Amino acid sequence: MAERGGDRDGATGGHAGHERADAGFKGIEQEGMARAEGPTPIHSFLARFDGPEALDRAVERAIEEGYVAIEACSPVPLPRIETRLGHDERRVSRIALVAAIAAGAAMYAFMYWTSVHAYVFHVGGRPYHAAPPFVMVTVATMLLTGVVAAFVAIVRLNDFPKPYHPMFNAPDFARASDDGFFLAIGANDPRFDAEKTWAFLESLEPAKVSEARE
Amino acid sequence: MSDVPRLSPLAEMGERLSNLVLSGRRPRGWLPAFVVAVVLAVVFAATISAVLGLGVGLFGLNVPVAWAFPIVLTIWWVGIAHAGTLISAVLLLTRQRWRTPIVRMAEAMSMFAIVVAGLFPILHLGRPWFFYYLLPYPSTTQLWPQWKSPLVWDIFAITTYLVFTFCFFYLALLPDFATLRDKARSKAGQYFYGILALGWRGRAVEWRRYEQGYFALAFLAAPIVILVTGIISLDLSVSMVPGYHFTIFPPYFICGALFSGFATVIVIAVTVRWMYGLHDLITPDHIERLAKLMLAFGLVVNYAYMMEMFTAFYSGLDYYRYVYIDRWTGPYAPFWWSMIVCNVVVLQLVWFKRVRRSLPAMLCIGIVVDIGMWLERYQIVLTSTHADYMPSSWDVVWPTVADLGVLVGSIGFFLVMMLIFMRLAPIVSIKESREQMVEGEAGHG
Repeated sequence: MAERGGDRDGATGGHAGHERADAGFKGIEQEGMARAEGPTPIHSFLARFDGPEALDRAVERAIEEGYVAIEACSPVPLPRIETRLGHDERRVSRIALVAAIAAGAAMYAFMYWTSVHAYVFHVGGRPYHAAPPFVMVTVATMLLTGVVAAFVAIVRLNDFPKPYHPMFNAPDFARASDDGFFLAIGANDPRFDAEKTWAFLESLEPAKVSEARE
Repeated sequence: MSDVPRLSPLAEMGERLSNLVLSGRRPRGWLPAFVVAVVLAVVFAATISAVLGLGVGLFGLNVPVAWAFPIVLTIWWVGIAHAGTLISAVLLLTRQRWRTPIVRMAEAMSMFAIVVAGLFPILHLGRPWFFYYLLPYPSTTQLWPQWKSPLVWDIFAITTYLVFTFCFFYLALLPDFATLRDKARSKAGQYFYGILALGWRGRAVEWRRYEQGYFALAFLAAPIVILVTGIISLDLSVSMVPGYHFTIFPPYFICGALFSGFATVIVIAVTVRWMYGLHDLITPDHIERLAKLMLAFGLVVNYAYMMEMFTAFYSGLDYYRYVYIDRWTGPYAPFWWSMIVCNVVVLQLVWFKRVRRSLPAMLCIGIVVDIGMWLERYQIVLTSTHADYMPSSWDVVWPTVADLGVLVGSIGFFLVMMLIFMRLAPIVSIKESREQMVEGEAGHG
């Protein structure tokens, strides 16, 4: 597959940024999702690319241009772009590790307390505190907590569940889960300017530029 | 998307796999299979209701055979679940890309097998509504669990496995739910998948956290598999009963679990391939690789059979030796010899490449191995207790109607869940297939 193939479908015409933007918004209106009060504020501009390499170059250019409110949405994980955008956090695995160790230690201490202090149960002279059998539940608790912590970390750090997001209003954003590789520049970016940002995105030669309204 | 003249390969693949669900077309043979499965599931529900209403005595268990079908079925179903975990997690960490088309069905198999497996220990309690006695909670009686009891370890192990399998399964499905949300044409479908997708947008930072968490879970998978079946085997081997009390049990059970699990994955992969016509995705190569893994774990199980016999005789203990003489010639001898035929004799066919690459042959061998592994657990659990140290209390028990009801019923319940799942989510992972395509391209460029 060519990274930027010929199936470019940004053929809605219009050269000035705002015309294009309005065309995009009308597209939504026709689908019956618009509100009665007229255009809502812009949330972001999105440029769709056909492949990961094209998106990677676009992200690089956007960073060079000085944009900071950049997001890249893709149907597959793209580690290079994650690094470029500075998403090199390791919070999820660290949260899981710390939670697992803490829970394991707490569980062992708890078993020690119940067996030696709270509920002393004498069976055939066996020691009250016995490390080998205690290891079983300790390890199980560590694994269980690690799993739950990693899962909750992914959900909470990503602010899930959040079924609605303005980006979904962009006409072709549904392709972010299919074959579209999106570069989004948010309206909250200090360098954001409807005309210039749109022109900049167009200059990256994407398959299509569109806007997402709040 | 009919107005787009040419779809990119990525979109084409996404379209094809999501259409397995969204087109609403019933896969081949789905309806008859579903009807049979529902009937069996009703039998399961009826049997469980009878056991809850009338008591655990409906199962063929009594002293000396206090553990019978429920324990056999727990071990069997947990074992089946393990191969799915191994395929989805360990083969992910070792970057075995061939697993892509089978990973989703293997994970679904794990998820539903563990749900079935988890029911039996609770049913076997006799008064299942008091199952929470096993949990450490501050009760008015000031009683705490006995941490040295394998049955307490069990509840921790199985709960861990259940939660792990659910989290891993759901995470694997999350990007696919987003795809289905965006492709669904009906309002109901959009809402359904929209809620399940949690608002997934595929942002780089989402992927970053997702991949990290997913790999963290995969990393935890191997110890979880070892822990779960290891602990279940300790239920038996910690006791002093001849036939149970062998140090070889944890590795023996883990390999046995994976052996039966790979057999089941083969059965499911061949069946799903036929149902959906996925001939280009699931090829004889995939089945051959699964068959090799099944053979490897099967041979370890065969070795364990030999070592167990050797240990019994080398121990010099009459009771241990008698367990084997009894297995060979006693009332349960037909089970033992059938097990040997299924798990040892038939298995050797898998050495031949022609057999490994023949899907009908592997389907049959997979089913035979599943039966063999069920017989293995049956003879381990029953022959060991029916004749232990006290000849005066020796007894023979045979399965009751309730036993057979939960056996076939659990298979029906499992199939109902599998068959419904394959209509609600793509049975081949879209996300993994996509990743493989993108990586393949990067490799060429």
